[in-house]
Amino acid sequence: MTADEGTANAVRPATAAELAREEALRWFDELCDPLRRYLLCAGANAADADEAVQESFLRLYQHLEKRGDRSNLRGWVFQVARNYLRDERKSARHQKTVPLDDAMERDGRFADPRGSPEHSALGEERLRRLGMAIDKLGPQQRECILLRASGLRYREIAEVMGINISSVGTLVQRAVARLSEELA
Amino acid sequence: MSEIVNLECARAQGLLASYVDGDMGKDDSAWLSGHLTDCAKCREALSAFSALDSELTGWGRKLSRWNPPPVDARERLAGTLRERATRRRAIRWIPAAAAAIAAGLGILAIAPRPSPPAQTHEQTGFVEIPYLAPLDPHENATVVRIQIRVATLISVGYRVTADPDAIVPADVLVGEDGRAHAVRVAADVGLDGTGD
Repeated sequence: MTADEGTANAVRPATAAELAREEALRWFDELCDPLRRYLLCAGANAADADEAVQESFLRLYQHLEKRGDRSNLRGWVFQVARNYLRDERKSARHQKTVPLDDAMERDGRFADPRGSPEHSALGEERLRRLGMAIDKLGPQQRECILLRASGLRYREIAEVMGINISSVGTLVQRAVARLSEELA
Repeated sequence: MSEIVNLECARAQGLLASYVDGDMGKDDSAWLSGHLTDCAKCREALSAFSALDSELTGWGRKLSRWNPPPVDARERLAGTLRERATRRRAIRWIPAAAAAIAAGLGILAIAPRPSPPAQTHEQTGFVEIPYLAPLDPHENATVVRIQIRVATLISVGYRVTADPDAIVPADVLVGEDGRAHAVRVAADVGLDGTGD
């Protein structure tokens, strides 16, 4: 055995699982905040959002370990989180029917659980109207707006949605025009 | 003319998103600045866009502030990933261990059992005591030389042609349990172990 071979054997290459774990944690560092905001803006309460975030990155780890498609991992994570939230809601609906008013009260988009001074009644009403106006948008426009509210830049939104940035510009501009009308 | 204006306005309004992010190329940026100077409608659109855009991003920030993430979210994820990796390693070992055990059992099943030791010289000529389980060929037996009355041999089930009152020398094969299993006597004693 040569000296080089000896050195190569001494430094054990990382396993696929270790590499996947490191990469999943890097993505977590980058996407945790926007993903969580996205889920909150989409109507999840904090506990559901946190669970969806954990689950999304666990699935990302499995995806990376199995050497899944890496062409749009940012979009992949948002898609997984969105689907998780949808499935959880379906499951919750099966378990319990929640009166609409109660559901709105718990809706994270409109409530400040700590009742901070910045959260005035006027602000709350404005946010409620904004949230309801967003719910009336078409799926693509709504997705654009929620991703923007999550803090992503428009080019990142284009990447997540798998469309070009000029299409995002057009979608957002139309969505903003509709929201302006709704909120006027 | 108005169609050209509409097309230019459509292009301008499609660029507003990149504009507010400062993500525009030089050419697009110069063109949009020129268009905004000339087009009040697009200036108004930009103003509405920027205002609502700020409101949207502010909304997300506020929700995040009002519902802060758990401080240990990253550690929780890292811990779960570690657990999964450990479990996966363990699971990976299960088929290997099962295969090893199965192979071991297979080897045991097909491996030839050690053949019974060849009969020693001392064992030759032993007649098993009737109605007793025979001695295991692998058992370490001991041969004990005694003087025995023929009647005693008859009483344990042998058929003997010699005089029952005679006392003859006999080799007794004693097993590991301390019990006699077979007897060897001189041929003229006429010992037969087939019983009655």
